Amino acid sequence: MENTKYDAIIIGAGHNGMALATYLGKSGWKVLVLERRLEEGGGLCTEQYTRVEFNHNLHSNYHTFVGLCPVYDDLELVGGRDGVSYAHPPVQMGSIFEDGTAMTIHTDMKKTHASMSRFSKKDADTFQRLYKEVKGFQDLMIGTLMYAPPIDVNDITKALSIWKVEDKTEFFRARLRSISINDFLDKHFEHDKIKAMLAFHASICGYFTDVVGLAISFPFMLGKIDNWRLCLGGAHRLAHTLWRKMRRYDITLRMASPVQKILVENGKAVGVQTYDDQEFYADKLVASSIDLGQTFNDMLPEDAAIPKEIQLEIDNYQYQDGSFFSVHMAMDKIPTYKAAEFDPDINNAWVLNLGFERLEDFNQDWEDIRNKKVPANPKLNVAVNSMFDSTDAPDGKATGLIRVWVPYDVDGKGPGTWNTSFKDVYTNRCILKMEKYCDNFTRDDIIQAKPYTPLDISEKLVNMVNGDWMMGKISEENLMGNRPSPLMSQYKTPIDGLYLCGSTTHPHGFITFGPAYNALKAIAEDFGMDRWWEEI
Amino acid sequence: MKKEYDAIIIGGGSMGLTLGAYLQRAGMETAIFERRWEEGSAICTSECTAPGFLHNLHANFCEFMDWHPPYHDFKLEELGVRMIYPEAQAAIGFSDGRPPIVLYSVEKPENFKKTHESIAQYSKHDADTYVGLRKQILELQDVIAVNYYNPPQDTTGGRGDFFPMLGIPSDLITASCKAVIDYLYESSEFKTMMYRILQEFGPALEMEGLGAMIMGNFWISLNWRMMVGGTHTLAHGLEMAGVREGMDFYENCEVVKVLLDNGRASGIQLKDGTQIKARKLVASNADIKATMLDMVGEENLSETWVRRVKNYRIGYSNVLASTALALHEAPDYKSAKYNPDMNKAFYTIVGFDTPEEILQYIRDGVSGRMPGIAGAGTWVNSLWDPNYAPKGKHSLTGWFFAPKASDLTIEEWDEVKATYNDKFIQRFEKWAPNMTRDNVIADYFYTPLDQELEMRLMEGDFQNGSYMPNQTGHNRPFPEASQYRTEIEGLYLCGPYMHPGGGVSSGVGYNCFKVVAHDFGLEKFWENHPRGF
Amino acid sequence: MPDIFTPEWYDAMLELANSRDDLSDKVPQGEWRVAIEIEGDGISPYTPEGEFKYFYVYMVDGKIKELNPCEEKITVKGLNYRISGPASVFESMAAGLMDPIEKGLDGTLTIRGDMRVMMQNADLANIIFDVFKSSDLTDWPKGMPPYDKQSC
Repeated sequence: MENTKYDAIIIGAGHNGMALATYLGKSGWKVLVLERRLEEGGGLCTEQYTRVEFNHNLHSNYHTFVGLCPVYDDLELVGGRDGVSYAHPPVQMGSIFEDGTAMTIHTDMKKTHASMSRFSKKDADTFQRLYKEVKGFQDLMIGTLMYAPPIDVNDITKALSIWKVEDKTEFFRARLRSISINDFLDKHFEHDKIKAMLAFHASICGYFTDVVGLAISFPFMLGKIDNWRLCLGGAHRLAHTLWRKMRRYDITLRMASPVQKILVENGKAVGVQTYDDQEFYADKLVASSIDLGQTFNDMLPEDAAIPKEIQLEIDNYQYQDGSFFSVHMAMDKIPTYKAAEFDPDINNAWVLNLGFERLEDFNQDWEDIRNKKVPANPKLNVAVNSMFDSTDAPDGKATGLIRVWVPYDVDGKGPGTWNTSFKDVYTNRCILKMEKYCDNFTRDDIIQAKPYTPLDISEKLVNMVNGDWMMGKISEENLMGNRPSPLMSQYKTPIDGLYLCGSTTHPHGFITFGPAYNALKAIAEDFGMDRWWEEI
Repeated sequence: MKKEYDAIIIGGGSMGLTLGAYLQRAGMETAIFERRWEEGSAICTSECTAPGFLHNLHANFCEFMDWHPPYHDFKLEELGVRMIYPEAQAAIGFSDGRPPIVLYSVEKPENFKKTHESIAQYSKHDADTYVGLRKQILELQDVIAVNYYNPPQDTTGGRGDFFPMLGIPSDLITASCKAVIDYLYESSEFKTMMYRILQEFGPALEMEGLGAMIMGNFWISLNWRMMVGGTHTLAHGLEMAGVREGMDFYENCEVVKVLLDNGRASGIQLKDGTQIKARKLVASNADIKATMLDMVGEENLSETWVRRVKNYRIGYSNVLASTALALHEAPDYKSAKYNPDMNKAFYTIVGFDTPEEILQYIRDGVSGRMPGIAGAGTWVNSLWDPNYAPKGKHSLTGWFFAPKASDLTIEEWDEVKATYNDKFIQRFEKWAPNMTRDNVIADYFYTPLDQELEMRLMEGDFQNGSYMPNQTGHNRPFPEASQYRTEIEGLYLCGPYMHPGGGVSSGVGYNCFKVVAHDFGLEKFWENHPRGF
Repeated sequence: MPDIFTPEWYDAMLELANSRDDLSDKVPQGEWRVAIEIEGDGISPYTPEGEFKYFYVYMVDGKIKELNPCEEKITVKGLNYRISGPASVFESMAAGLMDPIEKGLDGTLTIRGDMRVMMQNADLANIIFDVFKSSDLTDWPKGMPPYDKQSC
């Protein structure tokens, strides 16, 4: 018979749920993780989506917190026993422009500078100063602003002013809180294409560049513009590594076990009931790594004491305006580009921008998306992982990915359009667009292309409501101490013993592990745990 | 990556996972090297049609679980492996809406009455015979299991011994399975059902010399379990059992060479050139030809072994193609008006009205073309387990008998992939009128070539080698190799090309472990085990 | 005046800090542990190049209980902050010639630990540095910054 008594039960085996479980298990707790799907990992999802032998990362593809996030080290997720390996492509990103020019971002910042200098020496110098400045405080700030439960943003801006940061840095200042990333770029840079390259970087990180307030995050983001890493063997390998770590600490992960109810006794969460009416009990806590709607509205008993103001915040929780439309491709070869004549490195770049030429292009798309219009002229993010991972396709073949920002709800009619032949039409449009930039690659080199739509996202991973892989809007009203709501930003809920540890909490979605790490801090404080991970 | 292990296993299929867990538990430091990014090989489950719809494209019947040694020895239930045992186990319906035949689980004695009644609608003789045999098998099944979960002793894997006990003439042991079925049953409807069920287990219906193979069919039919959340949960369970024992796993690590030291297997080499030493043994559950001819190399084998391996025959008898349909509604069969269980049977045969249709279907496949009659054995697991489909929807998976992967070109397979489901659905509608194109949300077709490429199940042969009289029992894969040892000291074979073959049984892995335990003086815990094997 | 980095200097620093009411008011209640690591950078005459000076600060309810030099890297449990940097920079800060915030921002000083408390009590940082830079408290027997070759 299965065990039914645990110290902690975690709902959802995404990367956050599993990371929190591993910390707790490593601390000697008896932990159970319950997952509704057949595979662990949530967004760490790799499948042979187009054809057998072609492995596609359906969700998470870019891991940018390796080396910055303490969880990788604490849980020994890279290298060693069970650990994954990451590729760190020397040419990290690139933009190809309609006039045949191209810009590349390298792990070697001298090369990045040289590439930008061909467009504007002044901007290249500015970028270099900005990058150097950010590197100075990056670790400190990321540690404080991402890997710690959030504090009031006003405290941060007050500190910046008391410390006179403005007089001591060129770019970082409290005023960034009141401007958008576009504003920041306009203020410091002159060349459209350089601005587009940097805005593209932000957009792929999930940040809409016209949202007022997000400029405050932008310097930190640029500090890791050279930290795009590819998990070898597919993003799912990271999930599997976490599972094996968990198992080695004797943590049980139960698959295909949707939780239908969180059991509450005397106002305290004491366990869960799964879909098949099995009950599991948690002595210390239940932590939910999934979305608010399921956690509070579906799983908590109706008489659970959720204060009105918190219920209101849950009901009004905002998701991102847009989602991704992806085209996954099984390809006969790795594409090369006409713009290689201008910059040969573009053929070796991993994260590509094909279509954003200037900030107005972003604004046009953001506007379309907010108006529930699918951008007529898709602007592509292209990545061919096989260039750096020979295991994701048969010898001599390649897998490819195209991503485009689109709305979830199309024309105000809901997401249904994504289940019609329109998705094939749009797939073709994306491929046509890509073809234009290639010199040796046409649609005939694609063995098979298969779309993956915003609707697919939310149907596969139901907690990514509205296809929102950030699991909540990226805006000042929904970041830091406001995420997911001012009253629940410290990973606790009104129900004693019920914690939040998923991407609805600070910092946000993406493979940051921040929500798990911060929930752990809150839990450690509440339970007086020995913080073995806080070796500083 | 460590540079050295006691035991290295090539391939993380179910047999490799089984062997590994036992070896590690017995004190050998063991690692599996898997070519793909995920363990489990054919015990796989995928969302190949649409998000939220699960399909077991290979193994779906989990019929050995009462015996399945690692399931019990490693307490896989604790590791989250759960099963459902549907009451109505198998059903066949007919296009004209005649009453269906439904066979019920052998779990409850009263079910035999229901099974008898159902068959008796067409023939009391057949009902008496089938139920009589199935009851006798219940008495004998643990003895059959002993033959199954031990290295093979004779050419039939011990199966032939049972014919006299069951009152079946011994000369049928060397006849075809079709001959045994024809001998036992008279009604066209029931024979159609029996022909098709037999086909799911591998032996070619009309091949002479395989009569005894029907024992496997008697033994495990109506014992069919379904894995909650997908057959792949068993792969996860076996893997985590290994992890719990302390074993290591490496994915995306294709083994290209078995290293030899003075003629002894001393390690492996990966595609990237890395070498890992095996202090005691290397075992392979990769394809036999790849293992012996490519990884070991012809130059290191005797002429006999090279010839034997090359002559080992793969396909045509066990070649399957799978269909997967994401559905709005589960099929509603015309025949269900006589027995609603028709709509809620675990395994449902659709598309065949007569035994001749099955024979034609198989002959097509054997002749290298996709069967003209697009009929299948199907499962709608979402009827029992809500994990298989989004709320209110259903997922259907089915098996076709198909030609070998090499019988068609890549382009021809692509054509089959694109068109055969339509053919199937058109036929399906005659059996279940609600099975229109509109009822299908999305579909997927999985070809033998896909299986060869994805799993290295060569030719799409799910048994990794035909069941033929000279390839069963202690002739499997050939007499010199039947005891899981090779002529290379320290190199063992544990793929489904060994006795007792493929399936979700862990049989080959368990038997191979016994041989290794013998060779290395490990504790023979099974000798005193109450289950007797 | 005690010489910098002598036992008397540490005592004097402790006394000075504990005499500052603004400091004890601002430091959150409870225990605070800080490790400071000074790396010889070939410029400072007080710490040979490649060698380290360590000192440990332990505060309870706003008062410093311990302020001691240590022989080796401080691995005490429950450490809140670890501040590391080149010797000449520390000494320049002590001499009031360099701004610690600036050195923290440009990465010359590495600060590890949860900065949230420092942000929520932003004045505190200024007060601490004010105490630290009381250069009149010390003598510089081997010379004082600015050194000939200034780091960073």
